[in-house]
Amino acid sequence: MALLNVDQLSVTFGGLQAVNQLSFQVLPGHIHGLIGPNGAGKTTVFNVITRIYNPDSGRISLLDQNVLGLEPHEVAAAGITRTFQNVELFQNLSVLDNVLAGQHTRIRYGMVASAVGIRRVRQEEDRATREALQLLELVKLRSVASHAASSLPFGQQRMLELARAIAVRPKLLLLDEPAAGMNSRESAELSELLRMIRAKFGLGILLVEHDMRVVMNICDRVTVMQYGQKLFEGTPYEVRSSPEVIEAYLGKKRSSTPR
Amino acid sequence: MLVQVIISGITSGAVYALIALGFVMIYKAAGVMNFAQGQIVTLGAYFAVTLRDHMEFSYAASFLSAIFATGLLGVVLERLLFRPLIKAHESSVIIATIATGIILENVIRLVWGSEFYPFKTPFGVTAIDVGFALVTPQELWIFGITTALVLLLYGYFEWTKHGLAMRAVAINQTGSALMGINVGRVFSASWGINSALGAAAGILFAPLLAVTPVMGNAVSTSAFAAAVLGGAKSLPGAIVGGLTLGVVENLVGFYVSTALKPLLSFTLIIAILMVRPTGLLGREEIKKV
Amino acid sequence: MTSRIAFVGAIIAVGCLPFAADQYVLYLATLTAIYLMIGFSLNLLLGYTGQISLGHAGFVAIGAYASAILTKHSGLGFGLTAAFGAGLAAAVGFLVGLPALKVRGYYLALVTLAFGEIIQVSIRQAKSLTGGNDGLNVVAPQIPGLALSRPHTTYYLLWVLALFSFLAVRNVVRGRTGRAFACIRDSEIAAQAVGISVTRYKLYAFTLSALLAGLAGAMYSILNQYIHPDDFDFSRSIAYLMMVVVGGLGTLAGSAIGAVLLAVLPEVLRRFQDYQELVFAVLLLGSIIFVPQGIIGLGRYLAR
Repeated sequence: MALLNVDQLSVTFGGLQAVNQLSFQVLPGHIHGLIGPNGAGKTTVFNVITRIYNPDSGRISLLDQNVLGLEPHEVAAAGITRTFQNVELFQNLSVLDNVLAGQHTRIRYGMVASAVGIRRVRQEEDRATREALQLLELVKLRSVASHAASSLPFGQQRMLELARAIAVRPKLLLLDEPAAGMNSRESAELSELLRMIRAKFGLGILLVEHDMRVVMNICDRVTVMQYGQKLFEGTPYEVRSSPEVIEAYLGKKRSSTPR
Repeated sequence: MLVQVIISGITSGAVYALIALGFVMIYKAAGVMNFAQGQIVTLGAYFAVTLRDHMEFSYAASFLSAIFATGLLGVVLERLLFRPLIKAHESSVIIATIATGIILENVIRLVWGSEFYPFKTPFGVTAIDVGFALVTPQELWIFGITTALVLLLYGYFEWTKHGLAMRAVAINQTGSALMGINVGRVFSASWGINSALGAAAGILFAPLLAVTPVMGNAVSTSAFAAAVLGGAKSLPGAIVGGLTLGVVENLVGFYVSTALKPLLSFTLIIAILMVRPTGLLGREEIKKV
Repeated sequence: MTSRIAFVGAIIAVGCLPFAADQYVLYLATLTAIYLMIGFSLNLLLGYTGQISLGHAGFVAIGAYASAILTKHSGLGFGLTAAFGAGLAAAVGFLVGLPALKVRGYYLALVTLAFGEIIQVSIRQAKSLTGGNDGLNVVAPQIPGLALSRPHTTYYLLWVLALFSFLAVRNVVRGRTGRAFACIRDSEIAAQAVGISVTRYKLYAFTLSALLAGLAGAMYSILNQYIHPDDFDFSRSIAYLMMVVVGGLGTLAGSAIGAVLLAVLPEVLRRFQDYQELVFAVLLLGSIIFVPQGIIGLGRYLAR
């Protein structure tokens, strides 16, 4: 059974067809790339999966659960979370608190319990904090745990957002251009990190990315979009060699006869 | 009688529309709702009454001078107080404009005292028979000036470079800045025009209300409601909302009870924001993630 | 550690004050307890959850009038009438929270402004119930064994209430709920993405905030045993804003500083009573522009 099944998804905004009858699957344990020129509709797909937008038609399911029946805040508990193109951190909270926020659905006590201050509250908070610090260790941010999130440089903010997303313990992690602005060393490190996360937490990753080094390096399968539709799908190698994909990115080859 | 009520409704509606226009303009151009609006309206009236009754200016001269002075004050307020807050959280700006309004009101009280200043209309008080109703010269004047100012404003937006710049900033601040538009100057201009329009409204209303430190508050609250009704980012909406609210208020006041008039604006604000936040003529905005 | 020492020190000071102070200082100190409650209430909503409230005095009014009217007509004890006042305020807070789900920023400011004014007009109009512009005398409610008309008993009672409220609010703020509030303030969209129901938590924030404000109102009603609509007008709402902004938004210690400031300042300005509103507004504006983190923020900055 597929981890994520997107079936004939169509989304229009006003008069614009952003996504047109898109279908693809993310298999369990896969890192699946979603690539395409700007405006192809990739982020729109993310936004529909996380229920920020409503599609016109189509179905999306996570294992056997219908995703489109969920409210935006129910998506995390169902097992899907994401990072954002423009990092959306809780800027006034500490680095640690950002990760703790990610654990919201997994910390078990309510408002009245916390007001009264029963012992369970303390236990849950301690457990969550230990776990959060371990996650920060993974992304090399443990030393700045008490700093304000806004004080971090951009690259570290991205790592923090990743740690927060993992803290949700999703089955599927949506990453929106995590390598944007990185140099080759940084993107290599990111590739390693993502592989490690996939192995350690047993999750699937759907990755929107323009950096082809990362895509070719770690993706098990790649779906190529153009003008809201699926143009091609296959392994990274197949994608790289596909004439349609090359044409979409680079334009049609003029002529092959040498003069 | 009904026609009479409607006509005075249109008159107050015209004043609401004037204030609402300035209010919407700042919100569109600078993304700020001016909660000091009431006090600016009041200030305009005080400037005019002082120039006219204490410095022997003519009505026309005091009208124009007061509008200019208040407009200038608006620009100064923007540069000194609100420009530094451009990057701050919205609630900071809201609190800042409210605090400014309170400061203005208290300064007015200190300078001019709390008693009221009567403002005599420069025209006679005898009503003119226009066939289906009686209209006072002041009411005609209000309607005439409001129409003239609205047309001036329309001309400004459609045909001047500055007006075009303001429209551009209202759509996209960053893009406008990249095109070479001085966004800060547009902000100042929008505050200046908002204050000038508010002052005009205050002066037009003064003969009907008498000039007191709080005269602008109730009027401006109705103008807020009118702006929300029409669509807080819609200039035509401000006019439609203003006129509609003026008429409805007067009808309610006449047929039900005058005590309910202030309640009407407040309830209307809540009701509209619950049902159709973008108002009658506004359009929904989508934030891109 | 310093905060714990400060806290214990404050408790001792509060406990001993009645033995060292005259009637008048005692009155101000009792008033401070009430302002502290209101400060927690408004800070919870604005400082932690980022929801502006320009009509907060309306919630205080509901608590005050509801408990006073219930006492008058039923003779029930203060515990019950205060709970009723707080509960009614909480219910209204929930209702006010509903528009907050659909609108934010300036529109929310308008809604809360309208709410405050609607409460004002309603209190003044409902003469037979509230006494309208004549005000309402509040019968000194009974607590078995205590005669509440003695200023000392009132003082201790209100401060005990304030202390328990502080502990409850502090726990909420430090825990999962408080984190959720802050997440909503900082990024609603990210909050949704980690599973926080913005709807539910905004309603929690409004309800809890209104509950505290209503309780403060009930407390206020027994302070002078007389309440008047002027005690809950727009000017008061702004004074409450000043209290939390100047003290320090988003910190409970800031509310404490603000509460003391709000209680003491009118006395300091006694000679210049006409300037009181002006001074409040200038402090508020100055703080927003120059010292947005408030006195607490300034203190922390200087301590570094």
